[in-house]
Amino acid sequence: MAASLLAMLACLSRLLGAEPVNIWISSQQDKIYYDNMVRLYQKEVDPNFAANVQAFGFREMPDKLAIAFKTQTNTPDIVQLDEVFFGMYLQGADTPFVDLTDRVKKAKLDVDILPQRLELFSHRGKVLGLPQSLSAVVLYYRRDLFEQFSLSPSQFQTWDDVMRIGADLVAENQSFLALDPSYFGILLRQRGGHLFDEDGGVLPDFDLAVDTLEFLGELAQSQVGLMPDRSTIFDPVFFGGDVANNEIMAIVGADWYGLDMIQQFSPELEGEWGIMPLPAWRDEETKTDSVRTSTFAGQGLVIYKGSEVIDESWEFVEFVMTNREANAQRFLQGNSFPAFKPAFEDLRLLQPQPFFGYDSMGQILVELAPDIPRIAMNPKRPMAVFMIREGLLSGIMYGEGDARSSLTRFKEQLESGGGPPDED
Amino acid sequence: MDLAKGKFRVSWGRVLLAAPFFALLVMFWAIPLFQGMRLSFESDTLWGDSHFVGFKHYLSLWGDPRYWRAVWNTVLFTVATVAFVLGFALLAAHALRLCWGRIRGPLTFAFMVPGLCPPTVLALLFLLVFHGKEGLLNQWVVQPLGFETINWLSDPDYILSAVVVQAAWRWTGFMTFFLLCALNARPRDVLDAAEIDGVNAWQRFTKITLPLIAPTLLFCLIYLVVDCFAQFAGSYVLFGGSGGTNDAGLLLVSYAYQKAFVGGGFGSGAAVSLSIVPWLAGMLFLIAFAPRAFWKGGGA
Amino acid sequence: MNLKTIGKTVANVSMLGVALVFLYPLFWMFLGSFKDNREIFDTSLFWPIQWTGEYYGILIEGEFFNFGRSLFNSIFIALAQGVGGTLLASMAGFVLGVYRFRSRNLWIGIGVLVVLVPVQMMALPLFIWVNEVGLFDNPVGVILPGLVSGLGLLFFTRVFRQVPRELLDVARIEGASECRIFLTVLPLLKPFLIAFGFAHFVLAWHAHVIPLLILHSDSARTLPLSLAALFGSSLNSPQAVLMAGSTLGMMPLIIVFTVAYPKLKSALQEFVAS
Repeated sequence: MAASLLAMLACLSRLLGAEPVNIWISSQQDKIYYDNMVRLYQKEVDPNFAANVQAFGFREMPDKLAIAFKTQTNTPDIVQLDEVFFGMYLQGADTPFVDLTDRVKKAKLDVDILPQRLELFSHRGKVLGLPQSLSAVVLYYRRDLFEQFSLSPSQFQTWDDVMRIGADLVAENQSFLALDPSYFGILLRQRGGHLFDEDGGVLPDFDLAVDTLEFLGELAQSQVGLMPDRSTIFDPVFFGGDVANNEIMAIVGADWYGLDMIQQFSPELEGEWGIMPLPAWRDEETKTDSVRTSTFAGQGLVIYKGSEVIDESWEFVEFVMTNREANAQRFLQGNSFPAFKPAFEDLRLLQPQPFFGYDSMGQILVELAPDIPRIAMNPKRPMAVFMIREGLLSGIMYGEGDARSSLTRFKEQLESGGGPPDED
Repeated sequence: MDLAKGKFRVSWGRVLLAAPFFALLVMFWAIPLFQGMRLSFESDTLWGDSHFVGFKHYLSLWGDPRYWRAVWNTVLFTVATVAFVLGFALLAAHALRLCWGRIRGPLTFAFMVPGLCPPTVLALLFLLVFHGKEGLLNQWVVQPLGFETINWLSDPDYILSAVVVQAAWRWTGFMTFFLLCALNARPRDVLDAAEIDGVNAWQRFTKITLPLIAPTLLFCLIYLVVDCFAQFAGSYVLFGGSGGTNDAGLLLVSYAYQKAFVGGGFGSGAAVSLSIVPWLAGMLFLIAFAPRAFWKGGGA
Repeated sequence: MNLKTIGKTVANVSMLGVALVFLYPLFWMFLGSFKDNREIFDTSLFWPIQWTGEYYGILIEGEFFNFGRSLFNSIFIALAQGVGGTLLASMAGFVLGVYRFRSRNLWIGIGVLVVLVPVQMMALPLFIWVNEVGLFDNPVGVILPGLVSGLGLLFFTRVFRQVPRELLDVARIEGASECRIFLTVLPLLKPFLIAFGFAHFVLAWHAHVIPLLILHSDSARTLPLSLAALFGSSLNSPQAVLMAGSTLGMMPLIIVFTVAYPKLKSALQEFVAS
């Protein structure tokens, strides 16, 4: 029955001259946004546009996609893919994604999208996808707890400040920061370090990485930092427990943490959250500070090379990327903050937010945008992120080795069997 | 019965009856299996044409510490689960027989419920059960017993235990039910005679009951071992394909998943999957022969 | 109070306790269908603060997916596999259990092999193959592979081996064909058929890996698949809808179970007695 319905639909759409574009999304929430975008596109650009937006479980979508690409069967046209999974397909000279470089140039997106974010979905000089979010990392803090302990954001200029003031707080039985394994990558990047270098070597700035991991370990052991029960902050029980019980005062997170997670899981704390830039890393010798932001993950839109409706797909993607309303809605619907520079001037994105005590998240993000560091894209990135999540920080916390040996093991495992080798 | 020795006769009736099963088996099991085996001999190319690499994936497994960790974890997990589940099920089956007749039925029904629960609901529930401080297990069992809260899902010492607990919860009910049926099927007269003869309870158990229920016990054992070795659902529900801190909970099936879907190497994943078969066969072989050896040495 | 009464009391109380532990998730799931996300994830709460039926409404109105359709698909696919799988396994088991011939152990060995090979191994190649055969996004593409149960083959082989020789001899003397003999013996084994049919039905109902790959469009997906898409997607989705869907989804399972239970019990008793 499904087959005949599909056949009927195909016939109809061929009559109308529009074949439906298949879009795969990995979140029910985002599917709602894209359904709205399809309607908007039909209203403003092409009433004959037909799209089939499908949401799968967050873990299931990348699995289905990998199989679809491997077998070249049942492939989507457009995919909203997280940059962590994107890297998996960059093995050889050829990838399953359409080279959007020329189209991007024509739409002036090469100028209008923040270069670091555009670079995220590029490989060997070709633009293969467009970033949906800015993914600038900031520090979310609890205003009410700051007040209780007579603290102000301006006191936290550097990570040394965090350690110092944190120690005082610990003496009063209060932890400062929630910890998450993803912070290793985030903080490393903030200091200018990388997980991979140009040739695919792992942890080119090894000593910097060791120092960063040791710092996180110190935070954990001194109790200035609190490791959530499930070793991750992406956990609703963490919000219902540790956060609700005021056990931590701050969380390091990207824009979409605050938009989606924090608001969803602590709605009763409306008005008690504030936003500030990350504390900087101070170099004692040169007395210079690092940038005050970093980046992690984030979704992007890619188009499948074997799609039969590449042009129609591109026009829709271009619309979602450039249309004023589309960019605003992405933020307003709690999805993410766009990486499209002209949207930075949209007042709707810059307005103060009651949830964050009338801080303007948009304002802060726009200020930090130019400082966002690059992410080194590599086919082994998904495995690296996976392994970091698995063992690095919690391993140290449970006494399984020190930072240097853990990272050495990480480096060895990744370089040998972590993922598929570059095919050429 | 046609013991047609030396003659090759085709009995069409039998072919007709057995054919549909085996035809579908060839069609939807044998062929994909061979394709899967072939995949394990191909390169890990995710996009584009893959080429033949022979035993490369298998050889790399030999020197892969994570693989051996997975083997060890899987064996440990299987042994622990089987010991716990069958031990408890045996006790429970005996206890159920002592229960009041009227509640025995509903009780047995309740025991079967875990098998009917949808995995996604279980995933959510176990998140709450195994959580560190806030978790139900800590609140209701660990702390009342006077211990410090255990972080089941991230402390490497306890991760495997969490997987065992979860598997035990899922299977104990069914196994109890099987063993209950086995206990009920024992011929009354033999037991009564033994009791009259003054044989004590423990001897009745080891010399009479055990041998009688041995086939069922073996069946349960085999089913459990196969499930522990080859089922992905349990560990997926808890960890989503990961092995937990320092691979403490990494099972062979999770490693196969990681190789394929996180590393993007379907060939390697297929190799790990296929390598499960000899381990599983070996384990079952041990189980089938060990009790017999034990029996020969112990029984009178 | 003698030892026996104490023993009995201990047994009753402890089994009741154990039963409660087993029943807890069902109960939790049911209560959860009335809670909002915050309440669900708060481990100190048990009862919903507010009993709201809105999630059932959201579920049935199909805001996230077509509930009715998914439920229908699940029932259809699981039932087909339950009935068909039992039929096929019993037919083959009859041949292997009753008759002796040279290649018999080979076929049984194949059945063993089916049990030994993990499903994940088959997922990708099966997906490719089903697609090549043209059954992609088609429930038949899930049903046909699901009719092959190695465990079923071994089970029925054992069952038929226990069938008393006299019955078969009588039928054979009357000159019945193998098919006729099979059909004669079958009704006697009703409890076994029901027992296995039920087990296979439940396994088919919860199957995830293969249906995930083969069933793609909304109209073809089974209930567990549709519910899984809800879970672990955005943290925004009301998990109560997942609970409500699972609660309603358990109904067919429980109905089939209540019907099958008595037969299940007697079948297993006979099976193990042999």
